[in-house]
Amino acid sequence: MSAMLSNEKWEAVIGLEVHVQLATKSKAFSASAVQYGAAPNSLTDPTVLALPGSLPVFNEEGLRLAMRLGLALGCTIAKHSRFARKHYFYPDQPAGYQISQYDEPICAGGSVPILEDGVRKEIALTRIHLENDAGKNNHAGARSLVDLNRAGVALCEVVSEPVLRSATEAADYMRSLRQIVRFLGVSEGDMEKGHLRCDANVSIRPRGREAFGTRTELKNINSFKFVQQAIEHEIARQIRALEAGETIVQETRLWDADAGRSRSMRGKEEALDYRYFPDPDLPPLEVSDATIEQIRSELPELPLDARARLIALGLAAADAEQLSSERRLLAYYDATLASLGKSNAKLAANWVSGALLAELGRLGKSIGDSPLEPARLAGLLKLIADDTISGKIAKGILARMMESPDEAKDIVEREGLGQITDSSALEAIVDELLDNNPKQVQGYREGNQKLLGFFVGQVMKATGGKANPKMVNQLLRARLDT
Amino acid sequence: MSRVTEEEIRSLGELSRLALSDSEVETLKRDLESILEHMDALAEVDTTGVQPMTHVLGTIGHLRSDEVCESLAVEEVFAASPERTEDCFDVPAILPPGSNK
Repeated sequence: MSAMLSNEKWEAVIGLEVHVQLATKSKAFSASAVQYGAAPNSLTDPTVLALPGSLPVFNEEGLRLAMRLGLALGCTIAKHSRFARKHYFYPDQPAGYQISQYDEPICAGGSVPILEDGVRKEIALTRIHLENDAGKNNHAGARSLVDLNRAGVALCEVVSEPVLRSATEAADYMRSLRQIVRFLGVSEGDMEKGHLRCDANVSIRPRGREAFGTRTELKNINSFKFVQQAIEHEIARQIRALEAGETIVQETRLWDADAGRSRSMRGKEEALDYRYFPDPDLPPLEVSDATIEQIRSELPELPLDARARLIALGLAAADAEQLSSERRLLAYYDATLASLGKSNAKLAANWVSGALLAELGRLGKSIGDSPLEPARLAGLLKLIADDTISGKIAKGILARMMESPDEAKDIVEREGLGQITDSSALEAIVDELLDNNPKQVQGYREGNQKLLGFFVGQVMKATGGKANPKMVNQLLRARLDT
Repeated sequence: MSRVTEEEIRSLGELSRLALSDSEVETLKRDLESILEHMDALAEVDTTGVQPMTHVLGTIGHLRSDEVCESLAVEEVFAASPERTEDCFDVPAILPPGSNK
């Protein structure tokens, strides 16, 4: 409560460090497989276990993916970068140090775009650096059980500038980053599997003041929900403390998702001294301009750029956002439009994000393995666009096309599903209907305009939905309004 | 002039997980001081225009392709491990790094 009131007075300053698991098949510095859920300690090798005599050699795909992300986010790629050892003892880190990058990271600068009230806003990045992951600890009372399958997996750490101003903005930033890494294929971005893990630096300051307050670091916030909750909680905690005349202690706090609060993990005086130094086992990374330009030329359109493009085609913001949320969905939509023509962009948007996704959901399939190809869907939509069939009939045909390789126009021809556009045939049906419903006719003429819907419905029923609704409306009005 | 304090030696010992006796602290302090003196001597060399060398080998851009090789057999993984439970390394309960209980 007090936090809400105080927000008028206090401003939060937030920076995020997001660890992104790169989509490599093998580990960062050795060849054991990267795989989730394998039997404990079944995916290791001498380098992962840091056995004497083993030597790390970096995975070229890890480098390519990090550069791909960096270029997509507008970072400067360092043509010369290097690895450093970050020392700390922990049983999930067999070498006693993590291989990371310190003074010469692979990417500098850049930004992650987010939407704020529908307007694009760039969140500035400090850097993106490469490193390897640690193993996993399962705590069991007085003992911990260590599984090193994850140890050595290639990560990149995306570090933002302290420019985020609210918990919501921080969560939006993380969502956008996840969407981008998935679009790029840089990471599978599966939150459940810990592919994106976040630490947040949070401080508050009186509004209008330039200098930062004392910050705390929140560790272990690994879902969008927890990012939002943990940061909100921390902002409120700091405001309460400052308003009570206390000072903020610079410390690392661990978010406890079950308890819904954070607890102190270590203070400044206990801060670790990582004793970074260049890793003598690994030669520096050298990247040529040609390689950088090659990777840049392979970049796909990013979600927010696609969103803007679709809005320019006339789509509603919500539709554009949905269709650009996933790479394969966007590709499907674009392929449909390529067959159908841009003038029917809205029609295609309605059908792809509506009926098609619903049918796929019903069949338990994803857009990537849709049995109805974009070109065939476009064929169906053409029949709607030129009034050959009604939307209602089209829905039925769409469901059937999911289970057959038939073209929409063949189904329509074979089964006579085309709209009745022969006005004399419709006129006969309308006349009969009006003769049989004198009460409703009188009601309509006395001013109950809603009854028009009743008549339209009856005509559609009599024609099995095949009457052209526009024509039916015209005919009815012509008869009733005279 | 003592450039390395006893406190620094003990802190380094803790970071390196080494239990140092009082006499070892004294010895290490002397050793480190003489190492630093040697560094001072090296620092007198004029290195203007000389690129720092962090790697003895000139090899640059040596990378491996992203290919998976067979993992080490689980029996080999645990060959040197004193405690093993359910194919995991069994260690005393892990506390957050740096936390003092």
